[in-house]
Amino acid sequence: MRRKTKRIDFICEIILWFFSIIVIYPLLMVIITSFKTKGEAGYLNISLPNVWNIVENYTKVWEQGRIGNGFWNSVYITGLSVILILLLASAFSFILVRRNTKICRLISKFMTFGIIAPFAALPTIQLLKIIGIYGTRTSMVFVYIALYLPFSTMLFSSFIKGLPRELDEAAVIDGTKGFGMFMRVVFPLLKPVTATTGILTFMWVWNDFQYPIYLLNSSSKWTLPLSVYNFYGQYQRSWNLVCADMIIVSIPVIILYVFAQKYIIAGMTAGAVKG
Amino acid sequence: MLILPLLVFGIFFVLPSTIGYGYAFTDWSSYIQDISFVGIENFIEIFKNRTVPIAFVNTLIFAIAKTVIVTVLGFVFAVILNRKLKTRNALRTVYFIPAIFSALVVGLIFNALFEGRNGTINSLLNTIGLSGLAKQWLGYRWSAVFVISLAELWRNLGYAIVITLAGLQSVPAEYLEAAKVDGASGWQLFKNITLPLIMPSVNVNILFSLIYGLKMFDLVYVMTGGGPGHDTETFGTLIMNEMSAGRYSQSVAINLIFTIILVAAAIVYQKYSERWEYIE
Repeated sequence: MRRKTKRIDFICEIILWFFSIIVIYPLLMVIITSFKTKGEAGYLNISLPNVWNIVENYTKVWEQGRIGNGFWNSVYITGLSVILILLLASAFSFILVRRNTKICRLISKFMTFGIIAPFAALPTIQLLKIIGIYGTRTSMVFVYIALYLPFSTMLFSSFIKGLPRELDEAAVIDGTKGFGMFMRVVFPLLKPVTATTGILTFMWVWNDFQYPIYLLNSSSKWTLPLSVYNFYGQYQRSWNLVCADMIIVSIPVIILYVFAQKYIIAGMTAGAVKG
Repeated sequence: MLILPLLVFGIFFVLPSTIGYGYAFTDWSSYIQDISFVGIENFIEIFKNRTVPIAFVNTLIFAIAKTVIVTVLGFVFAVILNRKLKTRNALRTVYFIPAIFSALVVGLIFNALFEGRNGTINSLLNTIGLSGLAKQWLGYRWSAVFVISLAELWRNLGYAIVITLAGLQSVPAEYLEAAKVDGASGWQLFKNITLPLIMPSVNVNILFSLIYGLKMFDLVYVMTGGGPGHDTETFGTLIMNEMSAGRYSQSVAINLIFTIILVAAAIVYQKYSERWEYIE
């Protein structure tokens, strides 16, 4: 019995590593292609380059791809959006869950509309024009908050439901109240779910290019993915440069993933699934 | 702190997604100065438009293919990855990696893999003597739909695996132990204990795959832009392309129809599943 299980495990392991080629091969190809000359890169395979063209490729992409500009726009928009989403969603969920009145439950239910309904593209553009912030980075921050608030609220709410009520009731008796109580007593307790929500929204906002394509019209405001998209439009035949650009845009999320991997899995266990 | 989030959500999401659709009943376009009310003219126009049924069918294919395959494969891989494998953590990391990349990057990767001249797939087919199957993958409707679906699958499998794994790990070990003592076989354990307990996670997978599958935009936009012609158009790209063509009110009208379809789909799903109560 024991031995049989071990053998099955071994076979499973081999099969899974075999299938992982489907993940590893394309990524390896992108990395190697980004080191090649234009001619060699056209062969889109994983053979090592005859001529290593690393410095030239990456310098060219950095200069032609508006990387510096796109990077700062991305940092500004993603940074502000994630921080504000975390602050708003955590406090919002806490109140909704703890008060638990009829109106609060109705609001919770209504938030699912934000997960289901698609982005109303032109009406949103028109609204931003009327307010007078269309095309600005700040408008992107507001739109992202509105778009990801429902999902973040869902994650926070299910986590808060699992927290013992006595913890924050004790704080009320001690005389700490309102926002101060929330920041000092409750927020530290929410660390795991804050990490997960923060990482997920960071990845989604950083990687997104659907909303900027609608809402950012001037190239000086473009986020990194948008500049990659336009770079691809110009250098479609130069796979070496396109691959280098793809790597540059992915580096921040790769770094985040390496350091914060465990929170993604842990948080999904705690949040999305238990409900 | 209740008002502020509601205010942002209300102004920047709810407002355009409700009152904003009023534009669907006007003749707003890039060619017209004064907007006037035209009733349901846009909708009549849309139903005569040949592109809308194509987009409708494509959207459904993408969503259903994604939901079925991602859910099933996510389940299978999660069950295997939940075994006591030696390299379990490394494997989990590898299978989740595609989920961290931008749809833009994934789209470009698949453009490279399926490129017409020297793409990996065509080269492979030529090498193994099946050059007859090599083709301009993104140049025809059904092969393009197939390649885009593969890219979507590649990008989303990791999430499905993680969610199902989370479900598997929340199955209490005592239940399994107790049943084992009573002499249940491996298959009985799986069917009668594990499976019912992880159904919630499977449901989450189905629901999210369906919603985001129907909203499919970025991969199609990067890989084919809705082409060749309008053959791979989805609702998401159609809204964009109609807007770029200056037909604003039609774009809004399609957007409205799309919203109604999605909300209706969610309500139907809710009726069939009791798991739509995360937030309550």
